[in-house]
Amino acid sequence: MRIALEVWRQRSPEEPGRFVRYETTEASPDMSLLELLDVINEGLVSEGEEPIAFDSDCREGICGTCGFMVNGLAHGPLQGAATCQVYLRSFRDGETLFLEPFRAHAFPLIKDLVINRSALDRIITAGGYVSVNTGNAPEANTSTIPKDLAEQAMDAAACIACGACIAACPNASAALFTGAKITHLGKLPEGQPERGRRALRMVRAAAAEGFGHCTFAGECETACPKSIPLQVITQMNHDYLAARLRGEGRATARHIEPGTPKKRR
Amino acid sequence: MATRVELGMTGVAKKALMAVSGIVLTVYVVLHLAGNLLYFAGPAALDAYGALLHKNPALLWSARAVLFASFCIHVAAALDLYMRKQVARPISYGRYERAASSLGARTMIWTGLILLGFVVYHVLHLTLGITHPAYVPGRVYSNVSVAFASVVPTVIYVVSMIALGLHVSHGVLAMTQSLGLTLRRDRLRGLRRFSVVLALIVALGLAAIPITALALSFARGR
Ligand code: HEM
Ligand code: SF4
Ligand code: FES
Repeated sequence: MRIALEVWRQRSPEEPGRFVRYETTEASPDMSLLELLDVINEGLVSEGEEPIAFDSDCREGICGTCGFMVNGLAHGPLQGAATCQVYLRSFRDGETLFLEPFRAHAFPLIKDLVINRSALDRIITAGGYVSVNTGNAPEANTSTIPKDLAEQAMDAAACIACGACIAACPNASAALFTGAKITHLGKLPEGQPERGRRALRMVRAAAAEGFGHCTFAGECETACPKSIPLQVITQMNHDYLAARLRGEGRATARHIEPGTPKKRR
Repeated sequence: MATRVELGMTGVAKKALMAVSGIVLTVYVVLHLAGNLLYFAGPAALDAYGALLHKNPALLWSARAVLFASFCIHVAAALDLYMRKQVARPISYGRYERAASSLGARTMIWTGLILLGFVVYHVLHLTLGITHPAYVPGRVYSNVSVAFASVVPTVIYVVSMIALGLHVSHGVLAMTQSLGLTLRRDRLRGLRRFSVVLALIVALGLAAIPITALALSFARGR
């Protein structure tokens, strides 16, 4: 199988990048796209050239480490699959594939197809947790969870923080990612005490990182390797606006110095 | 970090403003359509409807004020968010495909800008009569008939109503999620259909008036 790659090569954030063409006849339909990059890299190394830098770890769609644009689509042409799950049988013989890093202001490029996604970690730090008492584990049936809520929480919890939703979004919005985290925790009893604060803090953190706004175009849902549904965004907006309207975090005590006279004399 | 954002507004809050102003505009468009369809009931009905609207100036002007404010908020937020798009992705893709966006979703800012131009033209044309060849206040039916006896205004109106249809087809859907209203997937599907049907009704209904007026003027043999 003949495959040509147009790969974004950029040695460092400071230097300009460009597409470089690599042609190969060593491709086979059963090969994964990342394996093809491995083969091309071996060739580059043996010729003393710099290999193409790209991220990957599990190579079975569960860790969220891999990810770049393939022909303009985040994680390539298949729904419910990460870049590492794209096989060459999805492409025509002789096809040219454009490989480009995920692009967003909040995802600074490190090298070639590798970007820094720690902005997502900072959004999690802002509110992606629940506070629980330490000590003995509580009895398992003390808080029961309706089946529907458990399903929705679990669906949202499937997010592997790959960043494809941001990459695919025309506005580079992190709404699907942030919404997934907010829904995952906010649907469960343990997540209730911090629900409003969590929505406010995570949405603000996403804005502070420089992610865009959501226009509900739906690209993220299609790009997501875990098929996280768009409703998590609605849930995020709901929780955020409810917290804003409730005046979450603005409750102030009525402080009167004891001994203050009741009537002004 | 968090304090800096607290001073401004997040995109979620801005989109909520857009949604609320969008609802006001959409409700207005639907009412406007309902009233304007009286065109098909003949001159007496349409002129009586026009007179009814002008009967209570206080009510008329408060409605106009709410509409104007909503329009300004909507446009200001739209332009602000559109500018931010470039900030959120300063380096654009060499190749970028949209796999899921509807035609309406892809063209929101452009159909919106067409509507902005249209609203200004429309007010000058049929409300104030400044760009109208023979405007007579109160004679609504004849004003409409004269205005659309020529091709150019008719084309402008029809193109704008296509833009309105596209805008509403995505807007009605988007606004419900901006406000956090559609939390169930099955409802989302129904809502998608509802938005398209509403958009079709509004666009076809409003475009039918200038088209009919032009056809009638041709039939009368200009
Ligand atoms: C008759 C006039 C108009 C109606 C009925 C209307 C209606 C709507 C509605 C219902 C929304 C959804 C709000 C949301 O996403 O939460 C919307 C969004 C939007 N409108 Fe309008 N609008 C009108 C005029 C305009 C104008 C003049 C502009 C000009 C710039 C504009 C630009 C936009 C943009 C950019 C969006 C956001 C699109 C998105 O989120 O994908 N609209 N509009
Ligand atoms: S929501 Fe989906 S696309 Fe976005 S980071 Fe999580 S797994 Fe990746
Ligand atoms: S390498 Fe782990 S998801 Fe692709």
